[in-house]
Amino acid sequence: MGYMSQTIVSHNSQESEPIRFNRPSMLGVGTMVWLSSELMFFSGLFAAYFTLRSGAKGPWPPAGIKLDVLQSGIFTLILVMSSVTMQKAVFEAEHGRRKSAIRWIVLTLTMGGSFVANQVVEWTHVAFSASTNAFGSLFFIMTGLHGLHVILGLVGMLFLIVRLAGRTNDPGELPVIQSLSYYWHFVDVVWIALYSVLFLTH
Amino acid sequence: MTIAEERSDLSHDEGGHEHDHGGPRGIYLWLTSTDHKVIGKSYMYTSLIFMLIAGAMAMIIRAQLTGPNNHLVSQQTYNELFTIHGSMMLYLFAGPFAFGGFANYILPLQIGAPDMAFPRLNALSYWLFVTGGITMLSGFFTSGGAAAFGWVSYAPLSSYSNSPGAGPDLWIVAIALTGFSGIFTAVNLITTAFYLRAPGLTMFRLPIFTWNMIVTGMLILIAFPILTAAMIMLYADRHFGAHFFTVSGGGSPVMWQNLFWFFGHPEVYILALPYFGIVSEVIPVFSRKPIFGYKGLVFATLAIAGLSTGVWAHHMFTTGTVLLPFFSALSLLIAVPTGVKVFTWIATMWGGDIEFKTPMLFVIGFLFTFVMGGVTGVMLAAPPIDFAVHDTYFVVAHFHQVLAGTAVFGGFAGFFYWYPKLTGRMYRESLGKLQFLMAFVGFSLTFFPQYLIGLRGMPRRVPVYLVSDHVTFLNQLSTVGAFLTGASFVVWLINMWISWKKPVAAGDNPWDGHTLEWATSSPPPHHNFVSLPPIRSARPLWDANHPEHADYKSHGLEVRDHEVKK
Amino acid sequence: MSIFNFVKERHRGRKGLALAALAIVLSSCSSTFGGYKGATTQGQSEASLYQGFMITGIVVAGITFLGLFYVLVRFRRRKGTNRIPAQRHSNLPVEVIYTVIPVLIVIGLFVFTVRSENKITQVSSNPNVSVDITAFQWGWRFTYSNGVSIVSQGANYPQLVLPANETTKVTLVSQDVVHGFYIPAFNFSRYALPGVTNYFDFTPTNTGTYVGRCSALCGLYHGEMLFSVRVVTPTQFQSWLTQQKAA
Ligand code: HEA
Ligand code: HEA
Ligand code: CUA
Ligand SMILES: [Cu+2]
Repeated sequence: MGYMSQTIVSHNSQESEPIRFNRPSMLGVGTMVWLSSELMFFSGLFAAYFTLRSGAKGPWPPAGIKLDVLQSGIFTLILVMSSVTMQKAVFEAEHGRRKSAIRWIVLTLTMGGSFVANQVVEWTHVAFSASTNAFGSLFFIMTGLHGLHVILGLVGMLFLIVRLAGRTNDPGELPVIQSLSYYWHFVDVVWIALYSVLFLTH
Repeated sequence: MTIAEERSDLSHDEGGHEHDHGGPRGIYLWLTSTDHKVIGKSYMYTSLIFMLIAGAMAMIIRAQLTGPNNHLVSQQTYNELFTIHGSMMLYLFAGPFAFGGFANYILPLQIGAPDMAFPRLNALSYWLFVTGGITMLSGFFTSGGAAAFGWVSYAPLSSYSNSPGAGPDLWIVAIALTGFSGIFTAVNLITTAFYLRAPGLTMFRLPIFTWNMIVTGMLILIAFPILTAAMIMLYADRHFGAHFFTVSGGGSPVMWQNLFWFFGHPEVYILALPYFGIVSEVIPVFSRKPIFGYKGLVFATLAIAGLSTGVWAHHMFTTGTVLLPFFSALSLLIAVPTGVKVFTWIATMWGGDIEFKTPMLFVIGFLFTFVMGGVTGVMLAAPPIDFAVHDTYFVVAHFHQVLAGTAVFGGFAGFFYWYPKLTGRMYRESLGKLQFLMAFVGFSLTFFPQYLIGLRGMPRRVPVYLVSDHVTFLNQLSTVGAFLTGASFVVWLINMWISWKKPVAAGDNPWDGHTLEWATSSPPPHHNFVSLPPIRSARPLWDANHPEHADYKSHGLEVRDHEVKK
Repeated sequence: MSIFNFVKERHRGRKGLALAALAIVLSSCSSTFGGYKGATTQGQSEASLYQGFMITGIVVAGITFLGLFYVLVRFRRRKGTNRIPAQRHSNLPVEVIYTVIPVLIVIGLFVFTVRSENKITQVSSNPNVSVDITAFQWGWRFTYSNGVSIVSQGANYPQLVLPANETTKVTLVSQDVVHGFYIPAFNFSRYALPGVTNYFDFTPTNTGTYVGRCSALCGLYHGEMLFSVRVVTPTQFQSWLTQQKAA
């Protein structure tokens, strides 16, 4: 690593003193900068949503569009809770408790995975498609691109688990888990907004 | 404690100097390197090749327009040519040349960093860019031809039924790829500038070039994702029957224009700001003065960036769907910070000791051409005037003057300025000056007549016009100018060839530079610096080389100046 | 003595310069700077706005370039010298001046822009004539309120007939992609958009025949999507309209 990268105050895996950096890691800064572009990406989708909604001739969502608000609501709650478990994993890792961190990540992974599974079920059960009307297009594009982000996060978690289970003196590990947690929180927050505009407008 | 001491441990674990000689060379180096200097150079050369290709297309366009009813190319081919000419010049030349090339090479050096924050991501950016470029060009080899809907790709002309075939799809993919490339570079540059600055280099001591790259990066993070989103929607419309832009399914074609221009206008400043940065480096060095009004320049840059996100609908005045006074007012206002920049540059030269080397000549070409284009841009910002000349050659002339002013004149100013840094060699001054002269005369001859052509009512994107339009002679002048410009690039190629075959050593700091990139050898070693001068102002190297005129000695200079006057 | 002469010379030079500048400005007031005078009242409003912008542009660019030129000549490096100039970093009053003056110019430009724009975009509630215009790939249909309809046929460009000194209200739509309804001599263009209806007025002031064309790229034959406009006297217009109705 470069000469100016973070200085690690202490890195002792048995120690319960939290391992912190004197400032956010370079990877963390990079992740936050990148997430700002992700924010704009979803803003573009929301802009499309509100434009088409305001231009809609009939009711919104159009007649014939039915979504299971409750079921998706439950999985929304699960996804939001997975942010909490992810953060717990970060705390554990910061205290050098890697085994525990792995367990929390596995839990997060399961919750995120169940969210994706629900989405797959939903996609195959709704009575409309992307070509039905503008709402259908928006629904599939928005949930689809969000789902892709969730899947990307899950893949990241898999790699993280492998890394946490491996070499003990790995200085790059903590920045990676912190950065993934930023990403995960971001994906969750975006979903709350998506859920509100796509499901709660009935 | 000197910085050199602080750095010494670095050369141990990174191998420092020696690394250079043991590492890969030639093609293999190009393919695998994660060194910001190698990637920066690759970006520059690749984008310049794209520029030549796109320029060659412009030559065909101009040849077609020498007469009112020429049949050099078919209508379809003509539409493909200007679409790819525009797309390549913007996405594959003007942007990557500065933001991928100069920024990559120079920014880490200017802030005293050993490399970019994420070297492998940097290599990924470059390869995405190359892939995008090849993808775009490959459209010409599909049976239906390349995309032919203009670089703006207006819906519903870009729908599958109106533009069938693989060419348009390749274009969409190409834009998405270069978009990701730009976003990753932006992330990388911003993180580098925030994180890897040498000790003592505070934000308000950053070279203006670096500042401009940071702001450009922010604009990219704001604008490009919107384009990516729009491209995904367009692709979904084309292939999954989605209804984002089709009226029948509840979509809105005008929404495409809004999304596109929300990206498109910031994009033109993404293309301009890096070159403003280059100009802000060249002028002080060749005037032997610090930049005048440093903070004003930084705030002007930020103001331009801020305003440029709120003016997009000035491209849509004639749609009848936008709030004219709002977008007109903001567009007019951009003239103010841009003017601040222009006056700042002139004030920097004021009282200086100006040396007319090739980079400085290109800067003068930039100033003239850009201000001309800017002033006509202000006219376009008035909706009534825009009603009269929208989508005519008046607009074509406007944007070529601003774009060529920045990307070509600003770009070549930077190219010649940093050529010794990149290669350790000197170009031939007389050939450089000849190139400037031909390019300057050529560009002016190409684009001044186009204002008149537009005012007489010739629309853009047409391969034929009427004899009764009285634009034939003006079009011929324009074509002559275009070929003169084309020839100027041949002079450039000759210059490069000679400098390559018969190298003349340039020395590490041939221009008496001010900023850190000149504080190391030319070209720099693998991790850039063996030692750094102390950084106590925005011009550390000037301070080191001219201790009696050092900037840090004149802190609070404004106050002292007044005292002297009394 | 000689110095005195020199100063006088310089003063005369300045006066001459000022006079020349004045002459340019005055003569520009009658020039249209390459643009059309505008064959409608709306177009004339545009023409005078354009004139104002052009004069402002000449003055602004002129001052900028004079300054640039002066600096380049005055502060060029002389042969054989090696001088380190005064290292001036900033000068607040100067910076304020070159920020505030452009702000004032811009405000002025904006005020005139809004005035002209309101005139041009105003749509009359009781026009003398109404025409529905439909753009399609690659032609035009002009439909008058009495049902008369003129449409592109093959290589024959359609003609839009308008009465002089009367207000015609145009309703513009597109059947397929985006087109641009553009009459250069009227200094006016407006997009024909699918899914959007646009309204605007023309009040032609001169009789004559003008070229009209599609300005927005609309596919393969965009370059040949022309039409013509014939402005006639109101009586001629009425007789033309009844004649067409009969035919
Ligand atoms: C580098 C790229 C670049 C830059 C910097 C600019 C700068 C500006 N542009 Fe331009 N523009 C384009 C690239 C650029 N443009 C492109 C590519 C298109 C066409 C896209 C397409 O349709 O294909 C376009 C089109 C375009 C349009 C739409 C025209 C149409 O399609 O009908 C408009 C309308 O408002 C406009 C306005 C402006 C303005 C007000 C500025 C201002 O920022 C200019 C500011 C600069 C100055 C004014 C000069 C210096 C200032 C002074 C000396 C101070 C004093 C001046 C005054 C007080 C007036 N531009
Ligand atoms: C940075 C941007 C940039 C630059 C530098 C240029 C440079 C040039 N452009 Fe381009 N242009 C655009 C961006 C740019 N353009 C855009 C965005 C459009 C709009 C597209 C659209 O409508 O969608 C456009 C459209 C456009 C048109 C309008 C087409 C139409 O609407 O019908 C014309 C017409 O004259 C034109 C001409 C030229 C010319 C003559 C040059 C010259 O300056 C070029 C100089 C010549 C060279 C650089 C070539 C040198 C070549 C050689 C030496 C041969 C060697 C060759 C090889 C090795 C392969 N351009
Ligand atoms: Cu219709 Cu161009
Ligand atoms: Cu713009």
